[in-house]
Amino acid sequence: MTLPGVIIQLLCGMSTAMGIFLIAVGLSLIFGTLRILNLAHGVLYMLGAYLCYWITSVLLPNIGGSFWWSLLLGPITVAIFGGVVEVLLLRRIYNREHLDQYLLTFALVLIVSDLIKFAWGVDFHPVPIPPVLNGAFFFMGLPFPKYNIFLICCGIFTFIGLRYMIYSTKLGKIIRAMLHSRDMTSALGINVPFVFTVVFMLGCWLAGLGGALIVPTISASPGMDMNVLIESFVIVVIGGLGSLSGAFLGAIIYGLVNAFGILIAPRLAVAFIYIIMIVVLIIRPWGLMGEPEK
Amino acid sequence: MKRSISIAIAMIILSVFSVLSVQAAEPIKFGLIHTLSGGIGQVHGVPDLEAAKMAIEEINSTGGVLGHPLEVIVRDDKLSPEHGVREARDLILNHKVAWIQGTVSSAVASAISSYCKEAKVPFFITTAQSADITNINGHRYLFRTTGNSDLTTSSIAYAAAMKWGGKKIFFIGPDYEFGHRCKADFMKSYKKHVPDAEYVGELWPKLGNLDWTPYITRIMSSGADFVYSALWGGDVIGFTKAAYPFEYFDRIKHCGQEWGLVEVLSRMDKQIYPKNVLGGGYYPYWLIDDPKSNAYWQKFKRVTGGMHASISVASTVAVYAVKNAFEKAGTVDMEKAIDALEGMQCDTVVGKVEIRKCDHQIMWPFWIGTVTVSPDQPWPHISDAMKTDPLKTYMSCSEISAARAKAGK
Repeated sequence: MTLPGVIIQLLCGMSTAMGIFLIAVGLSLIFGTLRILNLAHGVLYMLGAYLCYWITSVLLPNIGGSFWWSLLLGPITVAIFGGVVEVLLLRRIYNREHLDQYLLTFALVLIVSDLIKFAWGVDFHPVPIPPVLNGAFFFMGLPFPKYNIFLICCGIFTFIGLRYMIYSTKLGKIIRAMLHSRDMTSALGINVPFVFTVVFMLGCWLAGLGGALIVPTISASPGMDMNVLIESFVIVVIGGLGSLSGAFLGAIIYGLVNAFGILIAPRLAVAFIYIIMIVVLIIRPWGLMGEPEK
Repeated sequence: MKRSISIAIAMIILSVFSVLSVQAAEPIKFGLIHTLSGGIGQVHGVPDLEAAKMAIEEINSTGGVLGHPLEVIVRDDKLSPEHGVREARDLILNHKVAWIQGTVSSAVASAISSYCKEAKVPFFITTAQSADITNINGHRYLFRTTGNSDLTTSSIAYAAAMKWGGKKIFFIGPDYEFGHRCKADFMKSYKKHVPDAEYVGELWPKLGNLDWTPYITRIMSSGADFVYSALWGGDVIGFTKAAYPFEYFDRIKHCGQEWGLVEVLSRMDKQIYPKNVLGGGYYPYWLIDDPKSNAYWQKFKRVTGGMHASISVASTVAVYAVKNAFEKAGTVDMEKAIDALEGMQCDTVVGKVEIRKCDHQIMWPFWIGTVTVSPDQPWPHISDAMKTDPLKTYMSCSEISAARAKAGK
């Protein structure tokens, strides 16, 4: 393997990593704050992808820059939907056992999947890559798609933006306080249910953003949510549930192990990341960047 | 005068009676199990269902089968053998279906086949390709009205050898029985033309894979003379979309039996498509100048609101084959219909094709051509296609007997 080939494979891994990071970080954020393992996170990603398709192909097909509009409107719509779900459903089961939470969020998976099928059918719905990002950059003679570079940049900027929000804003301070002690935060007069809604909406927005950003490289189709959900779980388990940096690190590990696994030992490429996950679970069950439960 | 009035009244009564008897006759129910909701498989599942519905509508509008209307009960296998068998069991035990047809995945087809053998209810495979299902594991209650991997791999191997003839081949295919079978069969056929050929790399992405970029870069760095791909359905679409920005199709020679199918290519546009790929087709109707064929695909397109017929024609063939078998047997007894099906000549849109007695495999032909675009077709399609001879591409009956004996069947 030549050096340019290794660089291209590295970029492939980073592109995979940053795409999946956008989804996994929302899952991690929701779990860290609300203590809910949201099984419906994958369908929210799928909803974001379908909305991107619908906005670019049906709502604004003839408007220049319809993809950018979809990137703005799609995730916001998913966030509003998430907010409604949180207020009407999730809020009622925060104090129940985890099994009840799993059942409710799994029911949401089935309902939203069927609603998507009802609205858009079961066919593949392609979303074209915007003209400005079409084509490839060349690294020592080897092409690499511009859109994948854009995806890497989006992941990194989202990470920086989220870090800024968590560590430098009032909302971030409240979220961090709630990560440590929900009861103490409430005792200080913080409107906890409102913060829960905001955090859940933010997680849903990230899932929707992930869907809208990834769909031009694939196509919107039923079933696209399940793989992503499993991969997101792997990432947050490796990185640490509730940890922003953990999700980022977990996603990079996932992307690079996948890319170089395919390069070096393709038959075991899928297994490598699960082996890493098992090792992390045994040695450091709270994840590489997470903190043990107090 | 009185006599003619009496005859007229008698004729009216008889015709009314015959209409009533068709309406009153018990419907013949059959099950259609296919992948209708999963991302990758529904590329074939939905057109197959429409093709079966079209056949039912045609048959029922002309009096049904020996006076019995046909009725289909549709089930989704969700691309899972467990789901497929569960639905087959329900269709047979609770709905008393006369036969079952469909399925795209060979794993699902294999599972349903085993159950149908036990239940003694015929199963017609209309999409799944793995040759072993009918070759080695065939039985009295299993038929296939589409081609199989023997046909497709040997056809594509021949075409690749004639066009490129390289020795270093890279393989990519789904990691289950069908993919492994294709890999072995392709090389076996290819070595007949290029004896010292070998695989220099192989990739086994999971079915319905979403992230193709690491696979594409791995292939591009392999230095292989060409790539043989056993990817199918939605995976072909996903791979193509991801590969295009890498200028993959300008740099790499690539072939695969599924890469010329209309079901797949009609979901792409004229900008992003598998340019110059050597692909196959079961029914490239734009290359067949025949009134029956023209009427079929035009009607299919009209009744489905724009779908393109291709491998789905096997679904129509299955329904008509059973109808003709019942009529040939003069009864709706399925055991007698099975006897009638063995060796039956089916009059299809690609001409007369036989359902072979030894393995119940239809002798469907296959076309191999180069994927291209042209102003007269709205989607990418294969052109310069050659039609392969079924007698030279399927396993012969003596080979099947030997293979079954070796496997202890």
